[in-house]
Amino acid sequence: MDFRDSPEEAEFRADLRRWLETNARDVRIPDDPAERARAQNRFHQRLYEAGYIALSFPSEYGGHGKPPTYEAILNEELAGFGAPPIEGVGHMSNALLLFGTDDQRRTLLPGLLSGATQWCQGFSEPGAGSDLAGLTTRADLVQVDGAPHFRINGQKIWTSFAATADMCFLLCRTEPDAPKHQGISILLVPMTTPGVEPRRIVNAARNTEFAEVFFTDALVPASCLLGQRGQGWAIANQLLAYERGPSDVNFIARIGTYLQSLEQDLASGRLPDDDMSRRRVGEAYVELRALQLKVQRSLTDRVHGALPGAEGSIDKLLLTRADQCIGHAVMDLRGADAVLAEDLSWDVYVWSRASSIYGGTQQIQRNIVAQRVLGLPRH
Amino acid sequence: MDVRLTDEQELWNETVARLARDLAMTVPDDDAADRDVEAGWGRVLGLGVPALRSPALSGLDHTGVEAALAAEQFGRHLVPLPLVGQGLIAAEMLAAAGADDLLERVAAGEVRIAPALEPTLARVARPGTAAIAWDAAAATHALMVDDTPDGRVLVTVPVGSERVLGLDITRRHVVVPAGSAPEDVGATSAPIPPERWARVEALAHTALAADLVGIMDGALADAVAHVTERRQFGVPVGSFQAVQHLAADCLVQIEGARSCLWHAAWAVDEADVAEARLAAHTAKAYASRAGRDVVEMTIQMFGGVAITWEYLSHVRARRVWTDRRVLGDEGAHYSTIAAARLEAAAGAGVA
Ligand SMILES: Cc1cc2nc3c(=O)[nH]c(=O)nc-3n(C[C@H](O)[C@H](O)[C@H](O)COP(=O)(O)OP(=O)(O)OC[C@H]3O[C@@H](n4cnc5c(N)ncnc54)[C@H](O)[C@@H]3O)c2cc1C
Repeated sequence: MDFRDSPEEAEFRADLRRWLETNARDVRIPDDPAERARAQNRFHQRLYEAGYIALSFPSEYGGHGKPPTYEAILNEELAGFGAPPIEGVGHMSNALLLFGTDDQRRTLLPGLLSGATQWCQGFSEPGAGSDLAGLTTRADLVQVDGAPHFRINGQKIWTSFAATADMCFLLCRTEPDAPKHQGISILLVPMTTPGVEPRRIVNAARNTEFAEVFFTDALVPASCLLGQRGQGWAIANQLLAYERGPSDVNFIARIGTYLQSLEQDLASGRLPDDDMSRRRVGEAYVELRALQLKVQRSLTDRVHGALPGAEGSIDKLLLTRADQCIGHAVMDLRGADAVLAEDLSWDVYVWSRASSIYGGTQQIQRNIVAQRVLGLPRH
Repeated sequence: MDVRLTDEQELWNETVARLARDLAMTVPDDDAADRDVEAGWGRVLGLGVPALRSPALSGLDHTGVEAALAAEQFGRHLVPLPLVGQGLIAAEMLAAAGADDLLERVAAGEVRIAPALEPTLARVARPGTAAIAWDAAAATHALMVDDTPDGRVLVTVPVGSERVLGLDITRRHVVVPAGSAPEDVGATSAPIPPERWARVEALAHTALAADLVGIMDGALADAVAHVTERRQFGVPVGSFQAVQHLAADCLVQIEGARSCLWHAAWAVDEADVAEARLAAHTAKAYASRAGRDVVEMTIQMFGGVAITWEYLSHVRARRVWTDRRVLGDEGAHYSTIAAARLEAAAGAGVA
């Protein structure tokens, strides 16, 4: 067992720290949600240009061919530095890498990884949330000008970043006569396609980050298909397993950043420093560490060849614990200020509640752990 | 970074698990802690445990992970033997003081030394004060610590004869009366410098965290077996979602606790002192909180039988509540962690 960096890891970490010192000291996380999203994307692109993004991806697609453990180092350092989080695209990128054709990987992966192309994930529908396989958005194979196309009709909801996205990772039904789970495919759809119309949804923190997306006779070439027809459910599950292993998304760094800012407010006297407050930040630190250290174990397994599977739900559930612990701490420690003004604290809190909903709810994750990891009987 | 057990560590884990299964408490038994120590302690010594932490005696370096694995297996099987108190914590104190002669006699079973804790159980006791020899089955002596300008100096006192009938029926505690005179058991020791003492504390917190992880893991395994067999409404109760979610939550917290534990166990010897301390506080805090929650959830999974004397659930709850209290529960460790983190935040001048 060795938690220490290898010489190469240590050198990478030191370089990254130096880069952050010189380039990110004055990068602030803006309060305004739209500003924040833009700042986050800019920072992601700068990190990419500096060579710190897509660490575990092959170099021909703009990556660096390193073991997945480097992603953990990046997350730790961003969290330790209080830097803005990076874009959470690891799960979609991994799915594209695993299931895409050479051509799809070459044309789509670099932009997805660098943040130059913005992607959204069109899975959930008004009638298909937890029961995702119940989705009804259809894509029918048709000939247009002698070439095969998919004609898409239906509606997605809760699609994060849809209104600003360039591309959509779309889960839809291509085989209406096949059994529920076997009739689903994935299409990679340009958001500029006529007949694709996002409508923003205002969230509980007044942020318009997620949206509904309506598809009305939207036509895309058949080459937009990812993997095989009917393989969509398998791909979606692989992607969700990556999404639930939180190293591939930016959440650890985000929680770490909020914890640091609380600690600094206590240390500098901006917040009253008493034993009760200290216990709360101590508790949040412990929950966050449990998550980080579990992720290091999961990543070690991945280095040794295991694809993320049902165990990823354990990581996601630890993430939810840590996120909701810090969410409560932020609201409680900021006291009256947290309720007499609507600022970042509320946003942090709202996100912490979302953390037991997005990517499959806490209940769905627990079903997975109970049945697929512990082997308890199904009803 | 390579966060897995090595092949040697896997092998050690299996060896310890086999012994722990042999020595397990399988039905609640008030007398086991006294009775089993006669035959059982020799087998623990045979494993090489009290000598483990002394490189001179064991020939091994960096044995934090091995120590934690042993404690975890003994916790899982509720072994009523003083592995954590005498075999690990007291032995670590002796090893830190370079008292290898005495440790050798402990490893041979000639002397039995338990750690003396303050009556609050929060700290190791000072000479002259009233104390409790913790995990003291068959102990002849208790180990106290004097804080001198040269470092921590160990003092051995004979244990008294007055028992403390605590909750934990897998362990024995004995009163050390105030003013007990030191008794030289043959070997003196050098003062333990602060940095080394910090690692002693880290090892102690880690050993307790490991015991807690083992208890939780054993509790969940038993509960999962129970709800798979027990039928109501014509189906196994483990097919009910409310029950499944308790089990899932247990596993999540156990894996969280185990992750913190592995890091602490590694850091005891491998990391710098500040990281080793922080890792140990983190592991003890997480395991103390999760230990109670997980055992309570498994009690719920068992239903009424968990409240009977006959089932092991209460034995686990007794040991968990004791482990939580010994050397500080999560609240105490959260405060300590925050103090270290805030000091660093203030020191970094980021205001
Ligand atoms: C911030 C945020 C961002 C999101 N981004 C995206 C995105 O980019 N793309 C996308 O496709 N989706 C996205 N989602 C949607 C998300 O995946 C769904 O909200 C989620 O899967 C739950 O579906 P639902 O909202 O329809 O809730 P429902 O499925 O209606 O669930 C309601 C309640 O019932 C419970 N429940 C349902 N089924 C079961 C069951 N079998 N057992 C036990 N309990 C059950 C749930 O746990 C929940 O408590 C996002 C959601 C949020 C909050």
